Amino acid sequence: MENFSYSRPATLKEATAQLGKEHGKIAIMAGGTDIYGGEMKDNLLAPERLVHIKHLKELQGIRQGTGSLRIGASTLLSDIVESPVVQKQAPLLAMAAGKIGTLQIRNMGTLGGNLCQRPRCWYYRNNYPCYKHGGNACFSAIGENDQHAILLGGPSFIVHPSDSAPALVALGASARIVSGTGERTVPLDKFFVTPRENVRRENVLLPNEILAEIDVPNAPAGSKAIYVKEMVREVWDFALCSVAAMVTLKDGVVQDARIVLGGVAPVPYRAVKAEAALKGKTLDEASATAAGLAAVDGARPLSKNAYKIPLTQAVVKRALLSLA
Amino acid sequence: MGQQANRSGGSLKVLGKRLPNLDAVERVTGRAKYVGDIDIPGMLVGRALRSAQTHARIVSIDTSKAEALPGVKAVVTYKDAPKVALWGHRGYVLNDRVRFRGEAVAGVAAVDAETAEKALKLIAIQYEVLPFVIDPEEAMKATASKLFEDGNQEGQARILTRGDVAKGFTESDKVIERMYHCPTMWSGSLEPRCAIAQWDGDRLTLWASTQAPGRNQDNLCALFNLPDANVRVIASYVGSGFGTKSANHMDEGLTALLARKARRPVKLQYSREEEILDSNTRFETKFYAKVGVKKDMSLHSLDVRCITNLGAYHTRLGGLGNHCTHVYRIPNVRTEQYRVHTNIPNTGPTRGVGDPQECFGLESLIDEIATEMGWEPLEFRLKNIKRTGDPIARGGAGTEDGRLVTQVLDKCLEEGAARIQWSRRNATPGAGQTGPKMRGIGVAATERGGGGGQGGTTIKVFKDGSVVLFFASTDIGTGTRTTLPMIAAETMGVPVSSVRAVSGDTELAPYEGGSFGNRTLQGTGRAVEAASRECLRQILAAAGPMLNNAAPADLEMQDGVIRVKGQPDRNVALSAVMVRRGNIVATSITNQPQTGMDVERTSGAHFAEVEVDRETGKVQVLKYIAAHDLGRPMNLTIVENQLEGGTIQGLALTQGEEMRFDPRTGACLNANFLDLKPPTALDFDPRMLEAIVVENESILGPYGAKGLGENPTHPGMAAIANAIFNAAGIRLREVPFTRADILKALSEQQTTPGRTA
Ligand SMILES: Cc1cc2nc3c(=O)[nH]c(=O)nc-3n(C[C@H](O)[C@H](O)[C@H](O)COP(=O)(O)OP(=O)(O)OC[C@H]3O[C@@H](n4cnc5c(N)ncnc54)[C@H](O)[C@@H]3O)c2cc1C
Repeated sequence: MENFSYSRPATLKEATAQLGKEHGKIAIMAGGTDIYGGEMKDNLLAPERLVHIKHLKELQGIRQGTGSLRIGASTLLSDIVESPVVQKQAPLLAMAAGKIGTLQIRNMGTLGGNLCQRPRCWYYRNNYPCYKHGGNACFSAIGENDQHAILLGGPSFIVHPSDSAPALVALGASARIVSGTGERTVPLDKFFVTPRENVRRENVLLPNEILAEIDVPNAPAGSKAIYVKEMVREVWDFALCSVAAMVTLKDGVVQDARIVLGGVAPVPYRAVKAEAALKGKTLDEASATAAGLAAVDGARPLSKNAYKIPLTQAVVKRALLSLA
Repeated sequence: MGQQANRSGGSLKVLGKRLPNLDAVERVTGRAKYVGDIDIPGMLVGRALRSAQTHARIVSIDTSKAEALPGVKAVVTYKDAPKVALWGHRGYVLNDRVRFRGEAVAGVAAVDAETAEKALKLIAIQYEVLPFVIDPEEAMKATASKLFEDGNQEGQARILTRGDVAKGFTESDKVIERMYHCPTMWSGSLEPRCAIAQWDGDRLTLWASTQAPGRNQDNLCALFNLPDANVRVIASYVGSGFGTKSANHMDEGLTALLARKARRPVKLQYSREEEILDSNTRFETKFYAKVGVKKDMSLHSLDVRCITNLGAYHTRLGGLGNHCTHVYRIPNVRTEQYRVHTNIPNTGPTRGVGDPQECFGLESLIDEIATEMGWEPLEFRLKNIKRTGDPIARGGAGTEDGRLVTQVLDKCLEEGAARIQWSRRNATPGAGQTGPKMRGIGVAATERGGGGGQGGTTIKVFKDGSVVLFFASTDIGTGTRTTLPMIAAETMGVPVSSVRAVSGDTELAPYEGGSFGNRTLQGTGRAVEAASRECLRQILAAAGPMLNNAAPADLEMQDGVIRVKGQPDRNVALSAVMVRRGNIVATSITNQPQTGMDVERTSGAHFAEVEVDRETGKVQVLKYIAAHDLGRPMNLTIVENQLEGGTIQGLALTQGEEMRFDPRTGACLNANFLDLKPPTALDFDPRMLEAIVVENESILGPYGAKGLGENPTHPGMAAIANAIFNAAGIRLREVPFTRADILKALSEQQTTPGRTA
């Protein structure tokens, strides 16, 4: 690891004032589990300065908004998992956050960091000169790609690693983003960007912006939700495929459905065709199976990841049936 | 002999009981000093520079900038390395050639880690890049890039024959051919390699995390041309080894080179990544097998060609142990093994060496031929396994010139089958199950040598009756520091609490080859028994005059009290005897006792019940029985610990753990715990695992004990593959069994009908 300077601003304002115009030179650190424990230790990134934001009061805590929860970006993942209000108003988020890594990671990692973490692609993490590092190749395309994207891939085939992201997209959350010059609010499904939109980044944040808060609308009355994650190991593993599913039922008939996939695309993937296939149907084996099929419609597997197609179908079907 | 008396029903006081590890508290409270915990005044930090080339020649190497950096005390390259090959290895401590990505090309010793790391970056190397090869079969081709001047094959093909396989196949009623593949796999050591070297003139002391201090001593003597008396290797506490620390490695020599050049002690500790990339990993095998059977259910002919990927430098071992020749009665057998060098990291012995791989191949094949014939696979095995009295080869040749003794594989199979309720398995694999989750049961048998070979110990009885046991074997989590004191306590008749073990020191104890290959208990254990007997003889002789000149033969010692047999009131305390006698020291060095026709081996059988999820490809182990012959158990707690740990280590290989290499660069892509996927405590619930100790007694080991450490890792892959077949009707011939493999096999199965077995 290279030497770097470290700053611990007292306020969010001070923090944003320190940020620069270029990604990577001046970097934001929250829990540090990825940027420090991963990127810097593995020499993927050598920032001149780390701006620590974990301790900032303005970025911490879970507050009641109007019809929503407002969760500070520096809130610990384990606090979200254990929070009674999150469990009540957005149980899907608590479930998904509970599936992240290990207890140790959740005790150190923050929600903002989880949403902004970098890809886990082996080539990226081994510092291959790929698109993500400013090169012009995706080494997975003809390499070891069993963990890579089957949907929305190309030119980079990374999958988005976050477990909290699919849940938050399903819940219709939005991100409040702050910079030295002002702030903006972006719906979370517009927060993440595909490689076609920006091959080097996974979200819309500019170098001088901080993700300050996530606004999570209360789960609709009468809705039920579940997060299902498939891994090689039982724990301490990223998703081979995951699904955040939320349905609102009336007399057993689906009024509204949100199905968002993790681990299969460079962004949390909203399976709109599956959602549409469910609307107006009773939730049963047939409609759940059809939704599973629709969820992977358009999937284009690489040489080693075709298994993700049946796996995703099964996971979507089972998630839905568990809500019936 | 007292030993015989003990065997035939004589009650044992200490052995056979449950005793927690004597040093458990030291280890878990952090008081035990592992090499990494040792600090020596003036000690420097060593670091290795690792090459980002997969295969290259070093054209030039310039260390001047690194040497000029303040705080740097020594830099070494291949130019400093003695031209002496490491034992079991083709390379020198440092080479002018890089044969795998991550190979060390230079070493630095500096006042602190930061300076050492800075210095590494200042070393300028010019390479001539060479084409690389990572697949062993590719490497065998004439056109392949050559790692060594004499080619990529290590020595000649090893061929072993018995009978005539070609004739055997023509005589067979059914013949099948299959290929089974095991990838390169991490060896599993939790404590990364670490060494400290300190020179005092031309005397060298090396503290190392090693299984084989004796081998390290030999190696260092050869490297530096020193007499044995000048080199001391100490390995008091070792945080697991699993074979990877049983062969000499370059880090020990590198540390000593740095310390000599810097004239200060140096510590070189591997990071996790270095530990994965540059220790000795479990080698890849491609196992091509052809088997023929007769209608009367007898195995008739077996022809195996095994290709082992040795990686860059390893020379000693191949991918075949003795499963093909020793488990079953087969009149015609031929095995042929090719050991091939490629540009992947160095491999080496890893728990069970090639046996888990060979067991996977053979025990899958046995299941497959049984299925083809419609035979029940357990019955087929029981019909064909070797039993006590059967002919078996004494040496490494094919000829069966010996006789198998104390063999209980039949009991392992029968007791294991009873425990798992074998009759519950599906008569037709995969059939008759509703819903996406399919259950099935599988079995695999194994065998191995029981240990033995040279061992030694020195025992000192102090004047107050307390005892210290010195031995050069190490306790790598195997409980040696507990079991050996138990043998001494049992033999002498003193409380275990009065016996202390000093392990892993080549200067204090007789030479000992190392703790691997199931051998410590049968080797060093027998030496401890013999030396304890000698101590006891001297104690009783000294006690006689204090007990009205009783003859030593009429005396016995129990709990540290010497008394006249049958007259317990006539006694004297050991301490009273020792105060007058002074210290007693006895040394014993034992050798391989296997003589004559008798061949003693160990055996085991594993049974797995699994659930295969047809839709997600997930395999869950529901129940697992590990039935083993280990002779007489010396300490049941340690035995179960070894059986459970070894079994889970074997199972780990089925789930996803695997070293993965990029086909275009030859680099290992997943040298970390997150991506390598060693299982966690949640993956194999210990409650599903049950160990059975099959009753038996060895004729060779101390108190009837056989070695055990390696065997439990052998059958896991085959037992799971066979259980998956029974559950789902799909046959997996490549380890690990990934979701991708399982879902693919299931989808292909849709088109082929199921078979009966
Ligand atoms: C062993 C291991 C296992 C893991 N398993 C999982 C898993 O199963 N599922 C999963 O979802 N994740 C997993 N992770 C990722 C983990 O959840 C993230 O590392 C963690 O959530 C990041 O939070 P942090 O606060 O430590 O972020 P940091 O490491 O501090 O930052 C991560 C990134 O986000 C940026 N950042 C952080 N906060 C902000 C902010 N407020 N505004 C703008 N940018 C910001 C940083 O600049 C950096 O690029 C795992 C990580 C490890 C190390």
